[in-house]
Amino acid sequence: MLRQLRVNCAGSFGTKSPRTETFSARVSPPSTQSRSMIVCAAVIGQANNPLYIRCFLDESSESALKFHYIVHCSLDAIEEKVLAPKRNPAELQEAYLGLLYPTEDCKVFGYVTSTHIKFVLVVDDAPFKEDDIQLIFRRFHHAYVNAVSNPFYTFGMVGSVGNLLTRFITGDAYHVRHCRGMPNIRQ
Amino acid sequence: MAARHTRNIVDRPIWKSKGEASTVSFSAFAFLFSELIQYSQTKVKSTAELENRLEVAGGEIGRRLLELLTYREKAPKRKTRLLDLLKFVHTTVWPYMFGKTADSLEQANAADDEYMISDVNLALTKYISVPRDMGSFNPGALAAGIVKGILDAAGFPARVSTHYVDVPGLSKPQTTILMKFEPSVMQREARLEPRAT
Repeated sequence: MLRQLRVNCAGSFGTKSPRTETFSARVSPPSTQSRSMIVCAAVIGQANNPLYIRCFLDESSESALKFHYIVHCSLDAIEEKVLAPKRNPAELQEAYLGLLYPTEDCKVFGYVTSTHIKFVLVVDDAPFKEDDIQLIFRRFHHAYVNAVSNPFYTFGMVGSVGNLLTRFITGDAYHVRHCRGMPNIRQ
Repeated sequence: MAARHTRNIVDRPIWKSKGEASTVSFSAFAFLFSELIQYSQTKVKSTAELENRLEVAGGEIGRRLLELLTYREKAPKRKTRLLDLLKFVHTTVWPYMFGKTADSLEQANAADDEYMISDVNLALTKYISVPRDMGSFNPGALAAGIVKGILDAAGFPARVSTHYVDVPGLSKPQTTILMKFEPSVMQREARLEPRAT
């Protein structure tokens, strides 16, 4: 399953830009002109406690703070989406919540699993395909399931999911390097 | 755990048919479960404590199972309604664990907030005969723990317990897992009920 997804999504994730020396993750396949980038990814626990948050743009504390703030705000949007009575009852149960809200220079997407774990992705403001985002969330979910299946994982503990996203991203970077011939991928 | 293969293992094709879930040797599971009970017994003073330990162990399994099995569904869905979740336990979790759906899923007559899942031959109780001085101990406590883990993680906190129930016409007592949901769950259910307009 995962292999299949990886193939479908070949080259969708990141490389290290030599100019800015930062790590970035690309959303859309390289074939298309526009490339939106994931600038921040977060896992939020059942009680809205942050379990994992990571920014990919640069490591300065200022931008980290900004993304913390964006992710924090997105929790309200998630709650609204989850609680809001919709006309179509099936829609209420969808794990993928879609676009939560746009900010000045990025878009925020959300996903809620059946155990009330929230995934939040902040994507920079470039054209994107809805399907790509859904696919990435699905792989995000896969990474989370893998991390949780570890018997040494303690629920709700910060840091327990620490390696999950790192592995999730580097796994893709590995794939990109081997399938697309992109050198210089560093974490 | 429980394979229902009619043919000898060497006669079966290596490739599994689509609907067939991968299975684990039942003996291997029985040994592991036996060890779990023996180990737990060295740590407890009473039957209730033993059941409690099994439930705690099951709870950890349940939370992980819910995440895993919903991910494996074709379209991952959150379980927002009580009945959806119970059906999920009955028709998805049970086959994953025991190779078949539970024998019955019903609502208690007396109370709205009590539901029961019953199995005549719960795989967990196989090869285990409870000594007389252990009273009402039921090894199905592990399954109860798993169910509790699933319900808790999905946001439907409940008290879950296992009981042996004698059924007329059956040689073995059936195992019933009783779930009593908290009032907050029932209130939310009532609120989510689509109103007739």
